[in-house]
Amino acid sequence: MIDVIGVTKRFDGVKAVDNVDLHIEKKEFFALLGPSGCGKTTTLRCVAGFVRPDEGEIVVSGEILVSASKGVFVPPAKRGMGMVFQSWAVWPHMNVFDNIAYGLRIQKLPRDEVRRRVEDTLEIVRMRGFEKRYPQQLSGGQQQRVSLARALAPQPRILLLDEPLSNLDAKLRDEMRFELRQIQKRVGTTSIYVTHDQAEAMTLSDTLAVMHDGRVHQVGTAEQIYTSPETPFVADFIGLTNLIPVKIGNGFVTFDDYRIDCNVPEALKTSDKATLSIKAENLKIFRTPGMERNVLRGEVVASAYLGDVRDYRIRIGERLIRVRTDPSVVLSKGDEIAVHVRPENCVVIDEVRSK
Amino acid sequence: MILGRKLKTITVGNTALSLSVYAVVALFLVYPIIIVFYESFFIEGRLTLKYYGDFLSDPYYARCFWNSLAASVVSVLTSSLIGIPMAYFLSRYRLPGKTLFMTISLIPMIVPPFVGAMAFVFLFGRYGTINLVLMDWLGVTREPINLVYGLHGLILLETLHLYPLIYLNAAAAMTQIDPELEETAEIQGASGIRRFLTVTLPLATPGVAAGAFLAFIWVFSDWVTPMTLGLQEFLAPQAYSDLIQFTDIPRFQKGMVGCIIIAIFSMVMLLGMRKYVSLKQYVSLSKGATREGRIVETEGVKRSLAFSFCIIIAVLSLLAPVWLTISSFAKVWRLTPFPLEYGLDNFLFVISETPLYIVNSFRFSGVALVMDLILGLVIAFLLARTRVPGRDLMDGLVTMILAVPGIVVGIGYLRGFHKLIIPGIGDTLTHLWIIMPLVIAIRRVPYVVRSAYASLLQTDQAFEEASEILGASRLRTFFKINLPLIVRGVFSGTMFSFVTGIQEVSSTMFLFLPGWETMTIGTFILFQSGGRFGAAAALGVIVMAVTSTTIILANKIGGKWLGGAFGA
Repeated sequence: MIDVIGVTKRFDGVKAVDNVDLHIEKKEFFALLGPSGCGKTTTLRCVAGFVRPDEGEIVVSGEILVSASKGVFVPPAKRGMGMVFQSWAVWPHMNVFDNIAYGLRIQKLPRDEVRRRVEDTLEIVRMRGFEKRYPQQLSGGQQQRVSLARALAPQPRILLLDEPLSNLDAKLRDEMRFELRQIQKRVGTTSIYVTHDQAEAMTLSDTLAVMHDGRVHQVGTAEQIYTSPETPFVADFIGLTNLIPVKIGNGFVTFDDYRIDCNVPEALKTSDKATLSIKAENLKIFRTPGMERNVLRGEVVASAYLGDVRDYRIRIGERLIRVRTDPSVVLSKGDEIAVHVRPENCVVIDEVRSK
Repeated sequence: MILGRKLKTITVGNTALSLSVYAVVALFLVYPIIIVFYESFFIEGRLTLKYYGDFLSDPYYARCFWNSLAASVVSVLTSSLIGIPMAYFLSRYRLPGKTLFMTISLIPMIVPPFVGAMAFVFLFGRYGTINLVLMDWLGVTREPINLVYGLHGLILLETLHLYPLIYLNAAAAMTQIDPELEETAEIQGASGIRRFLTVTLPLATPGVAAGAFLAFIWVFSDWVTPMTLGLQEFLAPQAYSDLIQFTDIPRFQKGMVGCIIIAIFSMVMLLGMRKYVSLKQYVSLSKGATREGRIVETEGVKRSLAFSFCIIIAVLSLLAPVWLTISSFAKVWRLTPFPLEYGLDNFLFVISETPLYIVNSFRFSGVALVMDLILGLVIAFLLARTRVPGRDLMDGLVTMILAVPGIVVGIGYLRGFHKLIIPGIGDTLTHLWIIMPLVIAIRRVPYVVRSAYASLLQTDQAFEEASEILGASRLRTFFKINLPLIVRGVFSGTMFSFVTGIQEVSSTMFLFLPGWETMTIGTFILFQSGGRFGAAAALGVIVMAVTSTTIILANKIGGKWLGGAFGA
């Protein structure tokens, strides 16, 4: 459906988007995830047509929207997309009805049809009865719904969402996440969603792409990205992760005086350098080690009670390791303990090839 | 936007401050206006409605009224037709020479309007350059064509003087529009023109309306420009001509009635527009003032058209100052399109009086500036940071100043203060030069208040609280924290006051005594009563040169001092 092919965009010589390739299926909910300044918004704006790539192509259902080499550029107004902005951009000088009817009127639909479509869309976002209200009279969450309705009403072939939930408070954001997901599944519009919030990307999307420094680091389902990060950045960005530089052995890796048994990617050869990634919740703490394999001995440095988990900092040799345990595991500062990790929870990242 | 919270309830100090403000405003604004109203009804203490009757039943005055109204409405429309597109092009397109266009568009504001009118008389007058070229060189016509004397000439001049006002307001408003609001329209399929009409223009309307209001009041109460063109059949110039007949009571009274009609009409306009010009509205518009406006990529015909438009307006804007400069260097010029001989004679003629004029202009505007700063900062502080009662009234009075025409203030000061002997000095205010800066200052208070108020509201109150928690007094906090933080914002408002103060004639013409002539008064007298056109041109050129040098110097010094980050 949507193909982004080798898109590069420079601002003042700096690559904001660096040779990005993406393929998005019809009806898919696709998330672009990354820290601020990673190029996710610029990529989205290239798709929308607000930014013109310096290199590369964007193709939707076989139609070239922009191609630097062929000199093709379809302006945003002719792309048939809908967009929800971070600020929601609900026009303050129009009421809810006129906001939503805007795109329908441009399509020159008959009055009755406009009215019907506005009402149907308001129904979808559960905002019936607010037609005559002005944005100033609406809460943030309601404006967000109007903004979504306005984008959906003209039945766009693609829906673009630029951090639409980031201006909502935490509780509402959580609710809207699920609702947004439901609405997207119901209307079935292919969607691209930009966010810096990993939980948001993971709950909402079918597929997500993690971006950093203008490049796409990994594309996959939430589970793939979480359990099998392909670059140290992805491992570090998603969840609470321990990253340890290691040397490759045969079926194991080594660091400091430790040896950890795990699955080593075939491409890696003995004594290659790589990074070991272990999520904090996959480490288990024991007062007395019951097993000999994959055990690290250390000392509790600090602890924090977070309600659903306890967060420990453990010193192992010269290293600090983060461990998340069940809150029932109570340790004090200075306790000598052992930490265990199962081989299947260890991910070895080939640093050279992942770059 | 961080809106300053109102802390502090009513303290003794704040109440005293607010009472002093009311005292000053009552004496120097409300009292003179009331005097004009009073004297228009009462002659020697007796209610006399005869002159109202005469005025209102005289078809001549009715014609004056309709002419003034037509000139105002059309000038606002034409100024908008120039100012709004220009604001759009210069705020949204990448045009070559953008900064130059922006600078040139400010030039008409530093040319006193009647000085521009003088230049137009030289250029478009009956025996001005254009007519002489048409008659003598091209032979297109035998008789001179009336290019400028009349409603059309006045509208042309006022438009060229006032379009920057619309442009500046519209540009400020457009720059502050969140880019996403326009992008949404685009992604919804709106074409450029549709996006402009449905989103950009409506969102810029409050700013444009404020500019249009000021332009309207300006034209409606402007007597100087029509007089320079020799036009009489308008309310303001007719009122002026009547008023200066002090001894002819019927004429004088009709002049007073004329003033009242102008004032009432302006106030009614203000009431209608108060939504757009009141302080609160003004500030809510300026949120996100630091944002850089959106840039729309354009190419081809659209861009060329926009560029040509800007070129044409720039040329028109430069016409008056350039032509005035040429005229000022004319030594011999008799019924020829261009001067026959050039020389410095005109400048030599005015050189003996000029130093006094320059000193007077700077003295009056400078003192006025200090008065404006003190009054403006106090009012802004009271409005933005305290809860003293009567703040709405204060806001209303400050805003009202925008609608009080110079002619009303001028005659009001004259009638109100000419018999009032100041205790301790033993003379009337009208005999003291301080009346000149006073009248200049009072008319410019709103600009300083606005800029200070907006800056104060945009300063996070936590800065002040941090100072106070460390033990600083309220006063110390104001000078050490508030003032440095708002100084940049206040500077632009202050510069505007100073520059327009130098240009002031409409009120000061009523009040100056020999020895108090400013540059602009001097120019007006030379042109109007002296018939020394060349000398008037020379003095006009000096006014422009001095004004622009002041702005450039202030920007340089101020820019260095404030970090170089404020606009023209």
